[in-house]
Amino acid sequence: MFSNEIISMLVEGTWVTLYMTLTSTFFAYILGLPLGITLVLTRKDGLRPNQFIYKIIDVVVNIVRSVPFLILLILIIPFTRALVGKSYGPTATIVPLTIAAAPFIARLVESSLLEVDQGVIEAAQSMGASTWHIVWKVLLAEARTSLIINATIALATILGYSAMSGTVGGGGLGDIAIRYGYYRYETDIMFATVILLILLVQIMQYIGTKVAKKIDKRYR
Amino acid sequence: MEEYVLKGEGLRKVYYGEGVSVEALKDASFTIYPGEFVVVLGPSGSGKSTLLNMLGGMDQPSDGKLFYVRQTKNGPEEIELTSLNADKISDYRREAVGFVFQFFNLIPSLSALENVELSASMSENPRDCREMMRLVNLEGREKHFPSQLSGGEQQRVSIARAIVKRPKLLLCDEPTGALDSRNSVEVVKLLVKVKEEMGCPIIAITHNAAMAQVADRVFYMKDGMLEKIVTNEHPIPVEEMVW
Ligand SMILES: Nc1ncnc2c1ncn2[C@@H]1O[C@H](COP(=O)(O)OP(=O)(O)OP(=O)(O)O)[C@@H](O)[C@H]1O
Ligand SMILES: [Mg+2]
Repeated sequence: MFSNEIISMLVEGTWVTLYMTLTSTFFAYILGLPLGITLVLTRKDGLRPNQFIYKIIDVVVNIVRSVPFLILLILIIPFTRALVGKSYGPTATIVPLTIAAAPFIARLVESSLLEVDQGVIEAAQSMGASTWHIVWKVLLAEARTSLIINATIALATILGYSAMSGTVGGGGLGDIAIRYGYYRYETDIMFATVILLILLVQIMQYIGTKVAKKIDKRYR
Repeated sequence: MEEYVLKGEGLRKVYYGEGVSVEALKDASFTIYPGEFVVVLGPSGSGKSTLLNMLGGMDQPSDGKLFYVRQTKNGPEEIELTSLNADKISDYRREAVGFVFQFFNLIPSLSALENVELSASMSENPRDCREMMRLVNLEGREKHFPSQLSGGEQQRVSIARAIVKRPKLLLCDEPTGALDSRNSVEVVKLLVKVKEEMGCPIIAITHNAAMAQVADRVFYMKDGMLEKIVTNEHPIPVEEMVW
Protein backbone atom coordinates (compact mmCIF):
# COMPACT_ATOMS: atom_id res chain seq x y z
CA MET A 1 0.00 0.00 0.00
CA PHE A 2 2.87 2.41 0.80
CA SER A 3 6.10 2.54 -1.14
CA ASN A 4 9.28 1.44 0.61
CA GLU A 5 10.33 5.05 0.71
CA ILE A 6 7.23 6.08 2.64
CA ILE A 7 7.52 3.13 4.98
CA SER A 8 11.10 3.93 5.86
CA MET A 9 10.06 7.53 6.37
CA LEU A 10 7.34 6.42 8.80
CA VAL A 11 9.75 4.15 10.66
CA GLU A 12 12.26 6.97 10.87
CA GLY A 13 9.50 9.33 12.05
CA THR A 14 8.51 6.90 14.77
CA TRP A 15 12.07 6.74 16.05
CA VAL A 16 12.43 10.50 15.97
CA THR A 17 9.16 10.89 17.90
CA LEU A 18 10.34 8.36 20.46
CA TYR A 19 13.67 10.13 20.73
CA MET A 20 12.03 13.51 21.31
CA THR A 21 9.48 12.14 23.74
CA LEU A 22 11.81 10.06 25.87
CA THR A 23 14.59 12.63 25.99
CA SER A 24 12.20 15.47 26.86
CA THR A 25 10.50 13.39 29.50
CA PHE A 26 13.87 12.56 31.00
CA PHE A 27 14.95 16.19 31.19
CA ALA A 28 11.51 17.30 32.31
CA TYR A 29 11.78 14.90 35.24
CA ILE A 30 15.23 16.22 36.11
CA LEU A 31 13.55 19.61 36.52
CA GLY A 32 10.08 18.56 37.62
CA LEU A 33 10.88 15.92 40.22
CA PRO A 34 12.87 18.23 42.52
CA LEU A 35 10.26 20.95 42.00
CA GLY A 36 7.45 18.58 42.95
CA ILE A 37 9.35 17.38 46.03
CA THR A 38 10.06 20.97 47.02
CA LEU A 39 6.39 21.87 46.68
CA VAL A 40 5.44 19.06 49.05
CA LEU A 41 8.19 19.86 51.57
CA THR A 42 7.62 23.61 51.71
CA ARG A 43 3.82 23.66 51.83
CA LYS A 44 2.17 24.88 55.01
CA ASP A 45 1.91 21.48 56.65
CA GLY A 46 5.02 20.07 54.97
CA LEU A 47 8.23 18.84 56.55
CA ARG A 48 10.03 22.13 55.87
CA PRO A 49 7.35 24.78 55.61
CA ASN A 50 8.53 27.80 53.63
CA GLN A 51 5.82 30.07 52.29
CA PHE A 52 8.22 32.09 50.17
CA ILE A 53 9.76 29.21 48.20
CA TYR A 54 6.42 27.46 47.92
CA LYS A 55 4.71 30.52 46.46
CA ILE A 56 7.45 31.18 43.92
CA ILE A 57 7.40 27.63 42.56
CA ASP A 58 3.62 27.51 42.72
CA VAL A 59 3.23 30.70 40.68
CA VAL A 60 5.92 29.85 38.12
CA VAL A 61 4.45 26.40 37.60
CA ASN A 62 0.99 27.87 37.08
CA ILE A 63 2.23 30.50 34.65
CA VAL A 64 4.17 28.08 32.46
CA ARG A 65 1.30 25.61 32.50
CA SER A 66 -1.18 28.21 31.35
CA VAL A 67 0.81 29.10 28.22
CA PRO A 68 -0.34 26.95 25.28
CA PHE A 69 2.45 24.71 24.07
CA LEU A 70 2.74 26.11 20.55
CA ILE A 71 2.98 29.65 21.88
CA LEU A 72 5.60 28.60 24.41
CA LEU A 73 7.55 26.93 21.65
CA ILE A 74 7.64 30.14 19.60
CA LEU A 75 8.18 32.32 22.66
CA ILE A 76 11.39 30.61 23.68
CA ILE A 77 12.94 30.25 20.21
CA PRO A 78 15.79 32.63 21.12
CA PHE A 79 16.56 30.55 24.19
CA THR A 80 16.35 27.32 22.20
CA ARG A 81 18.71 28.71 19.57
CA ALA A 82 21.16 29.84 22.23
CA LEU A 83 21.09 26.39 23.80
CA VAL A 84 21.28 24.01 20.82
CA GLY A 85 22.30 26.29 17.98
CA LYS A 86 19.07 26.05 15.97
CA SER A 87 15.38 26.53 16.45
CA TYR A 88 13.82 23.67 14.46
CA GLY A 89 14.29 19.92 14.19
CA PRO A 90 13.96 17.16 16.75
CA THR A 91 16.82 18.13 19.03
CA ALA A 92 15.78 21.77 19.17
CA THR A 93 12.21 20.75 19.97
CA ILE A 94 13.38 18.94 23.08
CA VAL A 95 13.99 22.32 24.71
CA PRO A 96 10.40 23.65 24.61
CA LEU A 97 9.06 20.17 25.26
CA THR A 98 11.12 19.94 28.43
CA ILE A 99 10.14 23.41 29.60
CA ALA A 100 6.47 22.83 28.90
CA ALA A 101 6.42 19.44 30.58
CA ALA A 102 8.49 20.18 33.71
CA PRO A 103 5.76 22.15 35.56
CA PHE A 104 3.20 19.55 34.58
CA ILE A 105 5.46 16.85 36.00
CA ALA A 106 6.07 18.90 39.14
CA ARG A 107 2.30 18.85 39.73
CA LEU A 108 2.06 15.13 39.02
CA VAL A 109 4.88 14.43 41.45
CA GLU A 110 3.31 16.72 44.01
CA SER A 111 -0.02 14.92 43.85
CA SER A 112 1.63 11.50 44.03
CA LEU A 113 3.62 12.44 47.12
CA LEU A 114 0.61 14.00 48.81
CA GLU A 115 -1.14 10.65 48.60
CA VAL A 116 1.36 9.18 51.08
CA ASP A 117 -0.30 8.60 54.45
CA GLN A 118 0.44 11.46 56.83
CA GLY A 119 0.63 9.03 59.73
CA VAL A 120 3.44 7.10 58.09
CA ILE A 121 5.38 10.33 57.59
CA GLU A 122 4.75 11.23 61.22
CA ALA A 123 6.08 7.83 62.28
CA ALA A 124 9.28 8.36 60.30
CA GLN A 125 9.62 11.80 61.82
CA SER A 126 9.12 10.40 65.29
CA MET A 127 12.00 8.01 64.67
CA GLY A 128 14.21 11.02 64.13
CA ALA A 129 14.62 10.41 60.39
CA SER A 130 16.13 13.34 58.54
CA THR A 131 14.11 15.15 55.91
CA TRP A 132 16.14 13.52 53.11
CA HIS A 133 15.73 10.14 54.68
CA ILE A 134 11.97 10.66 54.73
CA VAL A 135 11.94 11.90 51.13
CA TRP A 136 13.85 8.85 49.93
CA LYS A 137 12.68 6.06 52.16
CA VAL A 138 9.11 7.11 52.73
CA LEU A 139 7.76 9.67 50.26
CA LEU A 140 9.33 8.46 47.02
CA ALA A 141 9.34 4.81 48.05
CA GLU A 142 5.70 4.79 49.12
CA ALA A 143 4.49 6.85 46.17
CA ARG A 144 6.38 4.88 43.55
CA THR A 145 3.37 3.13 42.05
CA SER A 146 1.55 6.41 41.65
CA LEU A 147 4.74 8.06 40.34
CA ILE A 148 5.12 5.41 37.63
CA ILE A 149 1.49 5.64 36.57
CA ASN A 150 1.79 9.41 36.39
CA ALA A 151 5.00 9.07 34.40
CA THR A 152 2.99 7.15 31.81
CA ILE A 153 0.53 10.02 31.66
CA ALA A 154 3.44 12.44 31.31
CA LEU A 155 4.90 10.41 28.44
CA ALA A 156 1.61 10.38 26.56
CA THR A 157 1.18 14.11 27.05
CA ILE A 158 4.69 14.88 25.88
CA LEU A 159 4.19 12.60 22.90
CA GLY A 160 1.15 14.70 22.05
CA TYR A 161 3.15 17.92 22.38
CA SER A 162 5.92 16.49 20.19
CA ALA A 163 3.36 15.75 17.48
CA MET A 164 2.07 19.31 17.77
CA SER A 165 5.55 20.66 17.30
CA GLY A 166 5.39 19.10 13.82
CA THR A 167 3.39 22.12 12.70
CA VAL A 168 6.50 24.26 13.04
CA GLY A 169 9.03 21.77 11.75
CA GLY A 170 9.65 19.85 14.93
CA GLY A 171 10.29 16.55 13.19
CA GLY A 172 8.90 13.10 13.84
CA LEU A 173 5.43 11.72 13.14
CA GLY A 174 3.68 15.04 13.70
CA ASP A 175 5.90 16.61 11.09
CA ILE A 176 5.05 13.89 8.57
CA ALA A 177 1.34 14.22 9.30
CA ILE A 178 1.46 17.95 8.62
CA ARG A 179 3.60 17.77 5.50
CA TYR A 180 1.74 14.93 3.80
CA GLY A 181 -1.69 15.01 5.30
CA TYR A 182 -2.26 18.74 5.59
CA TYR A 183 -0.25 20.31 2.79
CA ARG A 184 -0.49 17.51 0.23
CA TYR A 185 -3.83 15.93 1.12
CA GLU A 186 -2.25 12.48 1.31
CA THR A 187 -4.65 11.46 4.01
CA ASP A 188 -3.57 7.82 4.05
CA ILE A 189 -0.12 8.86 5.26
CA MET A 190 -1.65 11.10 7.91
CA PHE A 191 -3.83 8.21 8.92
CA ALA A 192 -0.78 5.97 9.28
CA THR A 193 0.95 8.50 11.54
CA VAL A 194 -2.13 8.73 13.73
CA ILE A 195 -2.22 4.96 14.11
CA LEU A 196 1.47 4.91 14.95
CA LEU A 197 0.96 7.61 17.59
CA ILE A 198 -1.93 5.69 19.12
CA LEU A 199 0.19 2.53 19.14
CA LEU A 200 3.03 4.35 20.88
CA VAL A 201 0.70 5.61 23.60
CA GLN A 202 -0.77 2.13 24.05
CA ILE A 203 2.66 0.54 24.37
CA MET A 204 3.81 3.16 26.88
CA GLN A 205 0.64 2.66 28.89
CA TYR A 206 1.05 -1.09 28.80
CA ILE A 207 4.66 -0.95 30.01
CA GLY A 208 3.80 1.66 32.66
CA THR A 209 0.96 -0.39 34.10
CA LYS A 210 3.08 -3.54 34.09
CA VAL A 211 5.93 -1.85 35.91
CA ALA A 212 3.56 -0.20 38.39
CA LYS A 213 1.98 -3.56 39.19
CA LYS A 214 5.34 -5.20 39.56
CA ILE A 215 6.65 -2.72 42.11
CA ASP A 216 3.45 -2.49 44.12
CA LYS A 217 4.39 -4.86 46.90
CA ARG A 218 1.39 -4.19 49.06
CA TYR A 219 -1.00 -6.62 47.47
CA ARG A 220 1.41 -9.29 46.38
CA MET B 1 20.93 15.58 90.80
CA GLU B 2 17.53 14.00 91.14
CA GLU B 3 17.13 10.76 89.22
CA TYR B 4 14.57 11.36 86.54
CA VAL B 5 14.12 10.96 82.79
CA LEU B 6 11.92 13.91 81.87
CA LYS B 7 10.84 16.97 83.77
CA GLY B 8 8.29 19.51 82.59
CA GLU B 9 7.99 22.93 84.21
CA GLY B 10 4.98 25.10 83.42
CA LEU B 11 4.50 23.66 79.94
CA ARG B 12 1.96 25.51 77.87
CA LYS B 13 0.83 25.15 74.30
CA VAL B 14 -1.28 27.55 72.30
CA TYR B 15 -2.36 26.69 68.78
CA TYR B 16 -3.12 29.68 66.62
CA GLY B 17 -5.74 29.10 63.98
CA GLU B 18 -7.46 31.56 61.66
CA GLY B 19 -8.82 34.14 64.08
CA VAL B 20 -9.02 31.71 66.99
CA SER B 21 -6.43 30.34 69.34
CA VAL B 22 -6.71 27.19 71.42
CA GLU B 23 -4.83 26.78 74.66
CA ALA B 24 -4.33 23.03 74.32
CA LEU B 25 -2.06 22.75 77.35
CA LYS B 26 -2.03 24.98 80.41
CA ASP B 27 0.84 25.10 82.84
CA ALA B 28 1.72 21.42 83.13
CA SER B 29 4.47 20.47 85.58
CA PHE B 30 5.54 16.90 86.27
CA THR B 31 8.46 14.51 86.42
CA ILE B 32 8.87 11.14 84.72
CA TYR B 33 11.03 8.62 86.57
CA PRO B 34 13.06 5.69 85.27
CA GLY B 35 11.17 2.48 84.66
CA GLU B 36 7.71 3.69 85.57
CA PHE B 37 4.48 3.11 83.69
CA VAL B 38 2.47 6.31 83.42
CA VAL B 39 -1.04 6.30 82.01
CA VAL B 40 -2.60 9.54 80.81
CA LEU B 41 -6.39 9.69 81.10
CA GLY B 42 -8.77 12.42 80.03
CA PRO B 43 -11.64 13.31 77.77
CA SER B 44 -11.22 13.98 74.07
CA GLY B 45 -9.57 17.32 73.39
CA SER B 46 -8.13 17.61 76.89
CA GLY B 47 -4.59 17.94 75.59
CA LYS B 48 -3.22 14.43 76.02
CA SER B 49 -1.70 14.14 72.55
CA THR B 50 -0.39 17.68 72.79
CA LEU B 51 1.48 16.76 75.96
CA LEU B 52 2.80 13.49 74.55
CA ASN B 53 3.99 15.06 71.31
CA MET B 54 5.86 17.62 73.33
CA LEU B 55 7.57 14.95 75.40
CA GLY B 56 8.59 13.19 72.21
CA GLY B 57 10.04 16.30 70.62
CA MET B 58 7.38 16.32 67.90
CA ASP B 59 6.08 19.68 69.01
CA GLN B 60 7.52 22.63 70.92
CA PRO B 61 5.75 24.29 73.87
CA SER B 62 4.72 27.93 73.65
CA ASP B 63 5.94 28.41 77.21
CA GLY B 64 7.69 26.47 79.92
CA LYS B 65 10.68 24.20 80.05
CA LEU B 66 11.28 20.54 79.39
CA PHE B 67 14.37 18.74 80.67
CA TYR B 68 15.73 15.35 79.74
CA VAL B 69 18.41 13.44 81.60
CA ARG B 70 20.73 11.65 79.27
CA GLN B 71 22.89 8.85 80.61
CA THR B 72 26.45 9.19 79.36
CA LYS B 73 29.72 7.45 80.14
CA ASN B 74 30.51 10.27 82.52
CA GLY B 75 27.22 10.02 84.35
CA PRO B 76 23.89 11.73 83.86
CA GLU B 77 23.66 14.94 81.88
CA GLU B 78 20.67 17.26 82.03
CA ILE B 79 19.54 18.68 78.69
CA GLU B 80 16.98 21.41 78.28
CA LEU B 81 14.99 20.14 75.31
CA THR B 82 13.14 23.41 74.97
CA SER B 83 16.37 25.21 74.13
CA LEU B 84 17.40 22.91 71.28
CA ASN B 85 17.12 23.68 67.57
CA ALA B 86 15.18 21.48 65.14
CA ASP B 87 18.19 19.33 64.21
CA LYS B 88 19.08 18.65 67.83
CA ILE B 89 15.46 17.82 68.62
CA SER B 90 15.50 15.36 65.74
CA ASP B 91 18.64 13.80 67.27
CA TYR B 92 16.80 13.53 70.59
CA ARG B 93 13.92 11.74 68.88
CA ARG B 94 16.28 9.38 67.12
CA GLU B 95 18.33 8.57 70.21
CA ALA B 96 15.82 8.60 73.00
CA VAL B 97 12.21 8.29 71.92
CA GLY B 98 10.15 5.31 70.84
CA PHE B 99 6.70 6.17 69.52
CA VAL B 100 3.65 3.95 69.21
CA PHE B 101 0.59 5.32 67.43
CA GLN B 102 -3.10 4.51 67.56
CA PHE B 103 -3.21 3.54 63.90
CA PHE B 104 0.20 1.83 63.89
CA ASN B 105 1.56 3.90 60.99
CA LEU B 106 3.67 1.10 59.58
CA ILE B 107 5.14 1.67 56.15
CA PRO B 108 2.77 -0.25 53.84
CA SER B 109 5.29 -1.35 51.23
CA LEU B 110 7.81 -2.68 53.74
CA SER B 111 7.44 -6.09 55.36
CA ALA B 112 7.09 -6.35 59.14
CA LEU B 113 10.78 -7.08 59.52
CA GLU B 114 11.77 -4.31 57.10
CA ASN B 115 9.74 -1.83 59.12
CA VAL B 116 11.74 -2.79 62.19
CA GLU B 117 14.98 -2.71 60.22
CA LEU B 118 14.30 0.80 58.94
CA SER B 119 14.06 2.01 62.51
CA ALA B 120 17.18 0.04 63.46
CA SER B 121 19.09 1.60 60.57
CA MET B 122 18.67 4.99 62.19
CA SER B 123 20.05 3.88 65.52
CA GLU B 124 23.70 3.74 66.50
CA ASN B 125 23.31 0.70 68.69
CA PRO B 126 20.15 -1.16 67.68
CA ARG B 127 18.98 -4.46 69.04
CA ASP B 128 18.59 -7.51 66.83
CA CYS B 129 15.56 -7.06 64.58
CA ARG B 130 14.59 -10.73 64.46
CA GLU B 131 14.87 -10.96 68.21
CA MET B 132 12.46 -8.02 68.45
CA MET B 133 9.99 -9.91 66.26
CA ARG B 134 10.26 -12.81 68.69
CA LEU B 135 9.82 -10.52 71.66
CA VAL B 136 6.48 -9.33 70.28
CA ASN B 137 5.45 -12.91 69.49
CA LEU B 138 5.54 -12.52 65.74
CA GLU B 139 8.19 -15.04 64.86
CA GLY B 140 7.41 -16.43 61.42
CA ARG B 141 5.53 -13.32 60.28
CA GLU B 142 8.67 -11.35 59.36
CA LYS B 143 7.96 -11.34 55.62
CA HIS B 144 4.33 -10.31 55.89
CA PHE B 145 3.25 -6.86 54.85
CA PRO B 146 1.16 -4.68 57.16
CA SER B 147 -1.94 -5.31 55.02
CA GLN B 148 -1.52 -9.01 55.72
CA LEU B 149 -1.47 -8.54 59.50
CA SER B 150 -4.34 -7.98 61.92
CA GLY B 151 -4.57 -4.71 63.84
CA GLY B 152 -3.16 -6.31 66.96
CA GLU B 153 -0.27 -7.80 65.01
CA GLN B 154 0.47 -4.50 63.31
CA GLN B 155 0.55 -2.80 66.68
CA ARG B 156 3.02 -5.40 67.94
CA VAL B 157 5.24 -4.75 64.92
CA SER B 158 5.08 -1.06 65.68
CA ILE B 159 6.15 -1.77 69.26
CA ALA B 160 9.06 -3.82 67.92
CA ARG B 161 9.92 -0.93 65.65
CA ALA B 162 9.86 1.48 68.61
CA ILE B 163 12.02 -0.60 70.94
CA VAL B 164 14.62 -1.91 68.48
CA LYS B 165 16.51 1.34 68.92
CA ARG B 166 16.76 0.97 72.72
CA PRO B 167 14.65 4.05 73.46
CA LYS B 168 15.13 5.85 76.72
CA LEU B 169 11.39 6.38 76.90
CA LEU B 170 8.43 4.84 75.12
CA LEU B 171 5.49 7.07 74.24
CA CYS B 172 2.17 5.55 73.18
CA ASP B 173 -0.77 7.58 71.91
CA GLU B 174 -3.84 5.40 72.43
CA PRO B 175 -1.98 2.21 71.55
CA THR B 176 -5.15 0.16 72.02
CA GLY B 177 -7.51 2.72 70.50
CA ALA B 178 -8.03 0.78 67.30
CA LEU B 179 -8.05 -2.70 68.82
CA ASP B 180 -10.67 -5.06 70.22
CA SER B 181 -10.45 -6.05 73.89
CA ARG B 182 -8.47 -9.24 73.37
CA ASN B 183 -5.81 -7.50 71.30
CA SER B 184 -5.81 -4.54 73.67
CA VAL B 185 -4.95 -6.79 76.59
CA GLU B 186 -2.20 -8.39 74.51
CA VAL B 187 -0.71 -4.98 73.76
CA VAL B 188 -0.82 -3.84 77.40
CA LYS B 189 0.84 -7.08 78.45
CA LEU B 190 3.51 -6.48 75.88
CA LEU B 191 4.07 -2.92 77.08
CA VAL B 192 4.52 -4.14 80.64
CA LYS B 193 6.93 -6.81 79.41
CA VAL B 194 8.90 -4.19 77.52
CA LYS B 195 9.03 -1.95 80.56
CA GLU B 196 10.37 -4.80 82.67
CA GLU B 197 12.82 -5.97 80.06
CA MET B 198 14.18 -2.58 79.04
CA GLY B 199 13.60 -0.51 82.14
CA CYS B 200 12.56 2.55 80.18
CA PRO B 201 9.57 4.54 81.34
CA ILE B 202 6.39 4.15 79.34
CA ILE B 203 3.85 6.90 78.97
CA ALA B 204 0.60 5.73 77.43
CA ILE B 205 -2.51 7.70 76.59
CA THR B 206 -5.75 5.79 76.83
CA HIS B 207 -9.49 6.27 76.94
CA ASN B 208 -9.88 3.01 78.78
CA ALA B 209 -9.51 3.28 82.54
CA ALA B 210 -8.63 -0.40 82.73
CA MET B 211 -5.09 0.37 81.68
CA ALA B 212 -4.77 2.68 84.68
CA GLN B 213 -5.06 -0.33 87.01
CA VAL B 214 -1.65 -1.61 85.97
CA ALA B 215 0.04 1.80 85.89
CA ASP B 216 2.45 3.10 88.49
CA ARG B 217 0.99 6.59 88.15
CA VAL B 218 -1.97 8.12 86.41
CA PHE B 219 -2.03 11.62 84.93
CA TYR B 220 -5.56 13.01 84.75
CA MET B 221 -6.11 15.72 82.16
CA LYS B 222 -9.05 18.03 81.67
CA ASP B 223 -9.47 21.13 79.49
CA GLY B 224 -5.75 21.39 78.82
CA MET B 225 -4.87 21.03 82.47
CA LEU B 226 -2.89 18.31 84.13
CA GLU B 227 -5.50 18.17 86.86
CA LYS B 228 -3.99 15.60 89.16
CA ILE B 229 -1.32 12.95 89.32
CA VAL B 230 -2.29 9.86 91.26
CA THR B 231 0.24 7.31 92.40
CA ASN B 232 -1.08 3.79 92.24
CA GLU B 233 -0.03 2.22 95.54
CA HIS B 234 -0.94 -1.24 94.37
CA PRO B 235 -0.82 -1.61 90.63
CA ILE B 236 -2.41 -4.94 89.78
CA PRO B 237 -0.49 -7.54 87.80
CA VAL B 238 -1.33 -7.28 84.13
CA GLU B 239 -2.78 -10.79 84.14
CA GLU B 240 -5.52 -9.63 86.49
CA MET B 241 -6.45 -6.57 84.47
CA VAL B 242 -10.14 -6.51 83.52
CA TRP B 243 -10.65 -4.69 80.19
N1 LIG C 1 -2.28 21.33 65.30
C1 LIG C 1 -3.31 21.87 65.97
N2 LIG C 1 -3.83 23.04 65.58
C2 LIG C 1 -4.85 23.59 66.24
N3 LIG C 1 -5.44 23.06 67.32
C3 LIG C 1 -4.98 21.89 67.75
C4 LIG C 1 -3.89 21.22 67.10
N4 LIG C 1 -3.66 20.06 67.76
C5 LIG C 1 -4.55 20.02 68.77
N5 LIG C 1 -5.33 21.10 68.78
C6 LIG C 1 -6.40 21.40 69.76
O1 LIG C 1 -5.87 21.29 71.04
C7 LIG C 1 -6.77 20.65 71.92
C8 LIG C 1 -6.13 19.44 72.53
O2 LIG C 1 -5.90 18.48 71.51
P1 LIG C 1 -5.24 17.07 71.78
O3 LIG C 1 -5.07 16.42 70.45
O4 LIG C 1 -4.04 17.21 72.61
O5 LIG C 1 -6.39 16.34 72.59
P2 LIG C 1 -6.47 14.83 73.10
O6 LIG C 1 -6.63 14.88 74.58
O7 LIG C 1 -5.34 14.04 72.56
O8 LIG C 1 -7.84 14.35 72.45
P3 LIG C 1 -8.24 12.92 71.84
O9 LIG C 1 -8.55 12.04 73.01
O10 LIG C 1 -9.46 13.22 71.04
O11 LIG C 1 -7.10 12.43 71.01
C9 LIG C 1 -8.00 20.36 71.10
O12 LIG C 1 -8.94 21.36 71.33
C10 LIG C 1 -7.52 20.40 69.69
O13 LIG C 1 -8.54 20.81 68.82
MG1 LIG D 1 -5.16 12.48 71.09
